[in-house]
Amino acid sequence: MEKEFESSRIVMHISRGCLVVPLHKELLDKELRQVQDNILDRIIETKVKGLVIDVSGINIMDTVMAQNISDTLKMASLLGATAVLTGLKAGVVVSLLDLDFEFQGIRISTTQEEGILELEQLISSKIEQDYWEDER
Amino acid sequence: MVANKRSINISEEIDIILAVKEAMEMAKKAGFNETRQHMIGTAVSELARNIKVYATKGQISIRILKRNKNSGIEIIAEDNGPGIKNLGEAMKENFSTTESLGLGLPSVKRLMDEFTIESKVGEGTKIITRKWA
Ligand SMILES: Nc1ncnc2c1ncn2[C@@H]1O[C@H](COP(=O)(O)OP(=O)(O)O)[C@@H](O)[C@H]1O
Ligand SMILES: [Mg+2]
Repeated sequence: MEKEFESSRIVMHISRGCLVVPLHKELLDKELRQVQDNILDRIIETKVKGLVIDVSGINIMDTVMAQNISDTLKMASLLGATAVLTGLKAGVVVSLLDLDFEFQGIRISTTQEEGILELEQLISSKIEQDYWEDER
Repeated sequence: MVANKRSINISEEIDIILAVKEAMEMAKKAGFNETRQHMIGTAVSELARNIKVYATKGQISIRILKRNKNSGIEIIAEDNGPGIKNLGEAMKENFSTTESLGLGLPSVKRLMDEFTIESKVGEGTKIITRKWA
């Protein structure tokens, strides 16, 4: 853990080049929006190339929360951070199906650790690719 | 101790969280497994949110049901808000009078087993929904 940032009771940290955001239950909409702003600020500020949003502390994800998280992940990608969602609980997955909400185009991993690993691999292969493109 | 019947006034955002928490506790008491407790909580979150957003205030009543050997839960969402002009449309996927997703009502119907909605323009909206354990 290199650095910690706190917003709305959510403590984010940077681990192996990825911004890791563990979300806990019971966040008000405005807190959720604040967390979203903070994530995007941190990405710009620290220039991390990866973002992990971990929802293993979330039991209830309604349509508003799902939309917020999906937007955050997409915006992070636009800012150059490859994003992954981790820790979806069975109850959340079942509900999301009934909500008919699709995390379209979003990378999903089981655990925080797996998410970071996947990002490390993706990011290093990207850097290699850039390198070869520069050489040409 | 968790009561068999509870009513929560919804007028602030925090009330949505309280209603969800209450519903989950009662669902557990009624014998729902964890996954299904979460489904019930999600339905309550959508209903309470609609009250807050469209009617500004209202009520969520939760009751544990017994039918023969079966138990279940009943959620009633009631408000004296503006009502819904076209119920058929409101129940459709992606129909919203605001910029949100319009998935709330159709998903509550899927998350629960029984669903009825009554609404009169200028008088309010009442949704009764049940799920059996
Ligand atoms: N309690 C309510 N009072 C008045 N109108 C409501 C209420 N609940 C839902 N509606 C209407 O039904 C529409 C669909 O609701 P919903 O499926 O939850 O989607 P969303 O909230 O995303 O718009 C809303 O846009 C609103 O116009
Ligand atoms: Mg809604």
